[in-house]
Amino acid sequence: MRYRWHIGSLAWLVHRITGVLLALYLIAHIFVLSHLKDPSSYNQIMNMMKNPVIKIGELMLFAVVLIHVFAGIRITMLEIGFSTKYHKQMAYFSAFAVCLIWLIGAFYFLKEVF
Amino acid sequence: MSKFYTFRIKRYLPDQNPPTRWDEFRIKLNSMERVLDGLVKIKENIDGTLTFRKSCAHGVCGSCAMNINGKNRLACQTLVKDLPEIIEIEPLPSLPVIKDLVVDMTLFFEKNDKVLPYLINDEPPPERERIQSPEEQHRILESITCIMCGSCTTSCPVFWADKQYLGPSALLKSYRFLFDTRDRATEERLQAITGEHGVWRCHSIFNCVEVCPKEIDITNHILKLKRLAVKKGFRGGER
Repeated sequence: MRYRWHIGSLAWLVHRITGVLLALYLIAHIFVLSHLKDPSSYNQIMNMMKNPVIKIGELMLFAVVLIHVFAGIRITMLEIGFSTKYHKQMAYFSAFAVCLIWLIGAFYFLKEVF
Repeated sequence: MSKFYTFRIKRYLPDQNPPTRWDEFRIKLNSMERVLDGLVKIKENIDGTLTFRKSCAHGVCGSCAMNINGKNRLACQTLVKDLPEIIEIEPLPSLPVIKDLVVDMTLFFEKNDKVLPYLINDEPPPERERIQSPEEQHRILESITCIMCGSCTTSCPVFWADKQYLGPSALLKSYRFLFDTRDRATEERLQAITGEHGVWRCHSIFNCVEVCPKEIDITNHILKLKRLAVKKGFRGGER
């Protein structure tokens, strides 16, 4: 079955996918936190984090978080009574805000490496 | 201005093997004609076995809802000039198909029964009618315009995944009575819609609003239902 996408259903799909990704990421996050037992193992894993590949991964994680946050804000605003007439504009604005904040964030992320 | 259009229609003939196939019909239609006119022409002149529902042909009865070019619409309300040259027509998604474009709407109407679609008021009737002010009427006016064509419920991804979900149409009907000042069964109605497969399943995807032929902002009504349910202390079916 094929069905035409529009900004509302895309926003929902992206929200759902990023939500699942974040749930999976939590496992990796807890793995890193489990190295907090003593300073040496913590430093070791923090050095690993300086690897450019990991940095790129962190940037992608940053994008996923931003998308999920803004999709969540949009839905919350609709639920608390913000007019549904503007739901499309809100989705487009969210996409714009995600891009903007991600680019600014990416600049600071990459400044640390290069 | 007349133009040739190709109608690609998903056929379902239960007694043939395989039962599903795509048929193409090329017909000439003028710019004022609708998809329904094309279907009628095909049935009358090319293939009499083509089956679809139609009744009023003026966007009032809601019989001819079908999936046209990937979107649910009323065939009688869609002008061919607004569509590309190739028009793909499928039955409404996610409901069992009986033949060609005719789907079994039982499931859809069952949902409607679940939300008690009638006025409940035990107070003794007044001498004349139960008066409503124009403002009170205006609150439910949009929801009253629903023609129950089924476009919204069958366009809802939540309904595709969960056939027990009440769906936008039934929830809109529930709104129509919950926000009616003459109705007294608020508790009962909220009980009916706040279960596991009720109003909380709506994820504000807006597919229903996109397809509604009467341009009802259904999601807005469902969000109002959610806020009313929270205000009255209903959370997930239990108080």
